[in-house]
Amino acid sequence: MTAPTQDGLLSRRRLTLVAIEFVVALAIAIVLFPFLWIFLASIKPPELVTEPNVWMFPPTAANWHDVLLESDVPKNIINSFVVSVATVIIALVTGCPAAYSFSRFKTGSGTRFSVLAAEMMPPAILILPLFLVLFRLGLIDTLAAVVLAHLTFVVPVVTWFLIGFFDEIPRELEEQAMIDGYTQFQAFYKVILPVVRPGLAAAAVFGFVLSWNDMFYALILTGGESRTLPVAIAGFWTFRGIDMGKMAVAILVAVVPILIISFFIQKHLVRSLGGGAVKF
Amino acid sequence: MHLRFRLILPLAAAMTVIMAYPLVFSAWISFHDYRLTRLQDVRFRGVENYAFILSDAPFGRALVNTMTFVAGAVSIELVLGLGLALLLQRLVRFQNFARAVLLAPMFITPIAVGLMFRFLLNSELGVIPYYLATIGVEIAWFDERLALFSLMLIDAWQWTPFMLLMFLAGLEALPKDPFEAARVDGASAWITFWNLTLPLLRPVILVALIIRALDAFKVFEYVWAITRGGPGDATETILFHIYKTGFRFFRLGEAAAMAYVLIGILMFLVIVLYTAMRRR
Amino acid sequence: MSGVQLKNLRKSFGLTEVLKGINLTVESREFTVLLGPSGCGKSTTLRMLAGLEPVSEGEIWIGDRNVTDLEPRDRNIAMVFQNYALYPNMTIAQNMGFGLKAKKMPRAEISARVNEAAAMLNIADLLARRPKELSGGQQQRVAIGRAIVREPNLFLFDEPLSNLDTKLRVEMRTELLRLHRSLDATTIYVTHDQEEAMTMANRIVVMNGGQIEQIGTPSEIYFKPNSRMVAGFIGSPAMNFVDGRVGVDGLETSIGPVAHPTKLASGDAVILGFRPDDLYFPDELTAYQAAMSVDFTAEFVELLGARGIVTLRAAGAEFKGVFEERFLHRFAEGATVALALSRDRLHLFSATSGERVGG
Repeated sequence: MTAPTQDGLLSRRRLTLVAIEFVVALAIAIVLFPFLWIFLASIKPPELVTEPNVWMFPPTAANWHDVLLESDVPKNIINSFVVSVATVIIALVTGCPAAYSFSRFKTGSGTRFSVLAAEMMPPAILILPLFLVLFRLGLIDTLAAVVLAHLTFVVPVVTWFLIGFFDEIPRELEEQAMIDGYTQFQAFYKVILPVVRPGLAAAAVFGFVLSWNDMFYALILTGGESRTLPVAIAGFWTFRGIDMGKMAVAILVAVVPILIISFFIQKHLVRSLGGGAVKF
Repeated sequence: MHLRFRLILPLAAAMTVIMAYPLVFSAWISFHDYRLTRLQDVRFRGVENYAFILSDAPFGRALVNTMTFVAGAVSIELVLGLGLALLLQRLVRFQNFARAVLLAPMFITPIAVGLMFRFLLNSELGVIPYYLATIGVEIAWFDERLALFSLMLIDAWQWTPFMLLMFLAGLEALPKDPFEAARVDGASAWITFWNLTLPLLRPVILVALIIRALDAFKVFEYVWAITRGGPGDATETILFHIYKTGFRFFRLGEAAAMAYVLIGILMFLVIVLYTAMRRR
Repeated sequence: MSGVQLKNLRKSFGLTEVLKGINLTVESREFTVLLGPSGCGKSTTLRMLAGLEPVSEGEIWIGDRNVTDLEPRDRNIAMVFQNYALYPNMTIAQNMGFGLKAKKMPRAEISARVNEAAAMLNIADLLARRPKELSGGQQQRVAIGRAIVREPNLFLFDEPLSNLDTKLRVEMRTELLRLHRSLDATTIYVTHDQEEAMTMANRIVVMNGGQIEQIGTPSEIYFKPNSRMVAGFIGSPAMNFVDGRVGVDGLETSIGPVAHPTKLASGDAVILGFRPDDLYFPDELTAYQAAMSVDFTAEFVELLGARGIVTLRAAGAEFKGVFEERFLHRFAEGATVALALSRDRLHLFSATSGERVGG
């Protein structure tokens, strides 16, 4: 048996790397292609949008113009935004102190797990009573109704995330603050909260994305004025007919901002999953 | 009251309103003949709702569909996610870029994903069937045989990134020493993977599987966007079925009972998965 | 400055009792070190003193105040943690002044005090930076500075040097001592490092299994250990022990008879201890001084520099000896070397209770 030469080893390693890069590039292409096609559809002239084999065409801004200036979509965007922001704020206010308590007072893995279990609760079981209660209260087709429904999954997620972030902060920090003359609650909001700020931001963004993306609850709880963006998007392709180009615009409007902010929290997601969620 | 409990109070209050109360109300509904069309005439039915749905063929079909969907989609996602994570880890150039792109689909609203693929895979308008046809492959993605499988692929497109995220976090958290020891011992990449990487990742795989499986049980948007349960009942999933029963046919009693049966199944699954993975 | 008194202090976590009644008086201005193996309860004691851990039973007095049930903030103490516990989001100056801010001290006075302490610790040029831009040693100084500016009744240190490398640790040790001299502050210092304890303490409290084994000056602890545990724990290499029995006029041990009067009754089982430094060549001792002479077989020599550790064997047991470098040639592998024990350097412990019974 002859030992492989230095050259042979090198080129084999190189070959593996090229193969890896090829596979990853393929995966990237599979991820990006739908976005590209939808973008093309949004700027295609109406008569070409249904042709699968058209790559070159005179681009038109008509769809963008119609959707952004002459449809309900801007209102849907505002609705979605208001719902998501309100949901996240309530989730942070309720989840943050609780997460700190779970993390610091070792309430046991039972409570932690129940937070996760709450997140996993099938929406089917919550939507019926929520609908009935909101119906009685006359809140159907209001943004408040959607916020209430979104809290059912955003609050647990945000809390779960924050537990992980608080776990990473050494206990000595607030012990030091307590020795320095502060109460534990002061230590929490004067020392711990500022330290955990990046985590708060990541959790908030993640909660925002979840709320922004939901269609199920919004579909059932909103009808006219209070429709959120995902519900509006769904309305572009019904049994009554489709408007491909306008739908493409609406999809991009819903998706692109989220993709941009998601890039900023990805690092935190990897970290927080590594630190908290991965080992319970 | 101890600070520990005062901090949990806001969360506890919120969870009581948005979770505990709906759960109890839902349970109550499931024992009644509760119809949206006859709100002033609600009758106690005992376990009749449960008895009825357990012998109800469409419900059974929806359950089977959903379980097939979950098993198929989650398996594909697990394999692809793990594979991509390992490849990404070995990537020298563009690692951050590749990660950012490959994680993107999980952040966008599922209804948009559903509509995008409905457009891309449509047998007349779709770009994918068109080019497949040019190389002689004729696939009707949404016919009775393939529709559920196509939904799995769409789910995989959107949610493989979640698996990837979990595994990237898991791989990052692994201790370096055993792998260096294995290299010094001359173990091949294959042996290292089966004997070191996989066993060390098991807890992460377990968590990722449970989270993803529970989430996949909620599949709704793709069905809503593309097939509406059809053709026939080929893609009638459980959440869609409950939605139809409750909000199309207004039979809330039955819908609530279905939701409880679903919770039972989910809990059973979690326990089985958890103990199976723990034991080995 | 005030002294500290622990009265029958107990602590249980669930059913496990980790502190089994600690009674300790620390005089004002004293530098007291709590020393012991990990899990002995020394850190728990310190944390209870700080008010970070509730007391299960007993009382804690600082000066003439019973602080047992007071919150940490009401005890007027300062504590330096092993990992420094600097607030990462604040500058060094803010870190040091944070405790004064809690007292609502005017800003000008805070910055005056911070500057003074910073000058004392040579960190004046770091005040505008943030903790993560500092080296471990600098962070350590900041943590100490933060304690100083508060002018507390009591300084608590929880293994403050154990995250530093050896060289820095020795430097900081000297510096802490100098600081203690100039501040004249009552200090309680927890460590598992006996060298730190020996060099820094006015008094050492050796703890084991949730109890105090011995309280004494460093030389008392070293030369008159109260128990077998203390004897074995203090000193490096560790003390040599031999099982023995009280005979008619001396001790019978496995390495031979020892001329050593004890108060014990004949037949009692004892443990004889002698430090590796207390092995002599027979010609170094007078006939009266020599308690016994033993023929050892030399096994290894580990050279430390000016001195070396020799591993010896006699009657099937292993012993350590420390000798100056110039004698080490006598310990060639396999060589038989006669060595004597000095009468005034023997330690005798009861085999049953472990208590010191003579020496």
